[in-house]
Amino acid sequence: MFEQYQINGLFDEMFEETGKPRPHYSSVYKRLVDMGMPAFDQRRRMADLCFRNQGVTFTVYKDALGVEKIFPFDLIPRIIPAREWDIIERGLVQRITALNLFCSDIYHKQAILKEKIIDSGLIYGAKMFRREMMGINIPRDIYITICGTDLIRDKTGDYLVLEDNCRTPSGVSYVLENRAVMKRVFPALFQETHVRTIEDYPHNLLRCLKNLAPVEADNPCIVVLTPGVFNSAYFEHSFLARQMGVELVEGRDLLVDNNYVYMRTTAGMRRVDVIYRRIDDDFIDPLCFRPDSLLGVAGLMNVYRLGHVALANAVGTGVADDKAIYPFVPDMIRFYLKEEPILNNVRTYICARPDDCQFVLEHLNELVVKTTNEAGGYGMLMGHQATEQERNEFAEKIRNDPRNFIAQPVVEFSQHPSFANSDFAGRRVDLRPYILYGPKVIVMPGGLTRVALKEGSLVVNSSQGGGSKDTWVLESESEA
Amino acid sequence: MTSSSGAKETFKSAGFRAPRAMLARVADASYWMSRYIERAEHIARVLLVSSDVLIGAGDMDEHFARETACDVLRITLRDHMFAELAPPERTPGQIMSAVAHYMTLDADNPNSLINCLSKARENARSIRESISAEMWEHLNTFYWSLKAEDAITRFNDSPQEFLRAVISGSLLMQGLVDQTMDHGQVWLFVQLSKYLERVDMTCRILSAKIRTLTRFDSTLDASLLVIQWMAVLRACCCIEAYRRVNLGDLEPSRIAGFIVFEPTFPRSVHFCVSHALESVERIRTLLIADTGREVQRNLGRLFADLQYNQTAPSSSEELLTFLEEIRVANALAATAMQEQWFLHTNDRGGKTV
Repeated sequence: MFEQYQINGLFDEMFEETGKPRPHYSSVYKRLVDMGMPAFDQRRRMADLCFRNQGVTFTVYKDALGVEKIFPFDLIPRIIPAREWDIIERGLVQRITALNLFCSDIYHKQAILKEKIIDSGLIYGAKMFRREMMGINIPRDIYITICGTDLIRDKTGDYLVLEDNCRTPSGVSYVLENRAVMKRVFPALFQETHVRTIEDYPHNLLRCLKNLAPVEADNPCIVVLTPGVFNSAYFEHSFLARQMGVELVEGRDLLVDNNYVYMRTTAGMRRVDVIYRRIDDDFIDPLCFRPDSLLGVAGLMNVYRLGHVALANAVGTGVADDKAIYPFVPDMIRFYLKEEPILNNVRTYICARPDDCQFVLEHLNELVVKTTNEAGGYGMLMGHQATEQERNEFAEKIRNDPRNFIAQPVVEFSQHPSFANSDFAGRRVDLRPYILYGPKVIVMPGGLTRVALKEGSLVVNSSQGGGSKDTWVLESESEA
Repeated sequence: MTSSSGAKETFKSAGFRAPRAMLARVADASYWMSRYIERAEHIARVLLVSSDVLIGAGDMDEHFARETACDVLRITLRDHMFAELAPPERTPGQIMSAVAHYMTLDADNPNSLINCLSKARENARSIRESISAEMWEHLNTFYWSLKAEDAITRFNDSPQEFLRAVISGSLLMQGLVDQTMDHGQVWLFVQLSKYLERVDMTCRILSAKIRTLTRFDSTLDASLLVIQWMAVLRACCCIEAYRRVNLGDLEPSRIAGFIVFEPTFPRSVHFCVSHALESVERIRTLLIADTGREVQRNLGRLFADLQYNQTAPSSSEELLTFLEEIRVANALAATAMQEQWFLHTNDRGGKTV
């Protein structure tokens, strides 16, 4: 099964350079080899069928109807030993704490700008900076309740933060469904490997949302706000509402009356206290942001500013995951927490700085250039893979609007054995753990391991042909 | 914690709970989900019975055979497809298979089984958090079994098996609805919608069959007539129950009477209306707010009609009128339901009509 397997000179999650499986993978490796390809293939089909029958799908926008697709699932689990996880967990707690303090600071005192740690031009130039939030106090001063932070491993196996997703990170439903399917398909493997459970995530999320409810609401009404059934992540919205036992609402189900938010029910109007919104700031209130939005609720921002409803995540958190602000997160950690960052960033050049911009333009063929406000793998230039013409076009764009771009060296991030073309081959993986900031900070043990299923590809986004894996974090005593 | 305060806790939590409000949109979606599943079951059964009659009846008047094959088009208001599906050069058998294909897998037919189930699933998908996981998984699997690439092959191999699978898919769904979800508001809406659809389809099937049969009454021989009336009972899924009550006496007005009035049989109009009415009453109690009065009024009046009017008119003319009246009352209840519970025509912020 692994006879043809190539390490490709990268950091391989499963194998050491010598080709020997790493100790924490030994039992999985043994089981796969014992199983043989036909049996593996059969389980693979079984898993696909599980996903399809349960409707674990996302929508690809191609034609008017959209096509429902299964998020490709790779059966070989990614395993993280306890001691590695311990570092990640501490690093992520530190990071979300600093990011929350940063948001609060930016929308109130702006100490970090006054101390000249971040140039205020960068903040005010951020598309996601919301003037409307200046001086507004929000419940418990928590801006980022849910954060999904993308990690990669470099050639030496060190974990680096690639980006934070502080607005509406998605994918957690796939993590939970992947786990459920893995348990169905490989029950025996679970019994012999001690994997930390992730199934309490919806419970923890609900606790965090309850934590935001206005104090006078003793039995708060919590809802998940979705753009609707045509949204690509609709499955996830519905999944989370179901798992938490709360109502899933669309914008048209809600209305604002006399400075409170209500939902339209069969018995009339019912007041809503907390909204876990899966709609971007831009669309959330046509009276405040984009007037053409049909997805939001007219007047919601006003209610929010009065403190009559809580939103998770808060409006304006996009300022914290702007790619041009990202390089400053280590400085934030030092400034607010007086600690050294546990997880490092990827070296980043900010095109808004003239020196950096010059360097980027001179080294375009070695860098990855990213637009600061795009997500989902759009608006990127992979300098080493692009053609001369593409590079020139991008250089032009950078010169015209340097604030909108950052660049990073190409990180040769780690690979993991994956099923491809009827055999196992190394494919690049990243990791998105989910962090919940509530009464205490909880990091889900594991997260979404995304895999670039195309050979040689470095892009793991589901919209660009990526798949996912189950991620196992081992209990401490079962390293071997 | 002392034992007395523990007991108090238990008492408190077991006590009255204010009913949880249900989103109007969820009620709306559960209504359509339920109706489409029920509709698919009826269409599948009519197709199954018609094709079975055509296969088994030996030498049948050809004109009559053609009509039998096309009944389902009339029932689902697809009369305009006659010319295309039943041109004169086709044999009844060919017509039957063209009609069956059209009613099963044709994407352009809004009432084809595949479209009914797509719509049922699409509605279910928008309220997954309000229905049980078992229901969703079954409906989704059910949908994929019709949508799969080999669906057409399976249909061609054995249309009968295919249709049977649709019927059992619907019945299994009803079992799951009953046994895996909370019998609260959503459940009541699902029940109510199912019974409204069943009344509608039953009246349509019965009317269509009566029309065809009366047109050919004089030309058909006795044994064929028996088979035809048995087919009516089978299409309404009540042949066994009817036999037990009437000892095989296949008299048209009795058959119609059974299908309309039999109080304890779940496929009869009387039974469906009575259960729909019960659901409405329970929903109204749960809602506390005084909405849905029109729904109750329409169904209540229809129920009184059925209850105090125990025989079906004997002439087919009158019978057809009577069935039409039932259908209209039933449709009025359905409209009132949408206006009063889904659209909030009287609420603030709601649409004003």
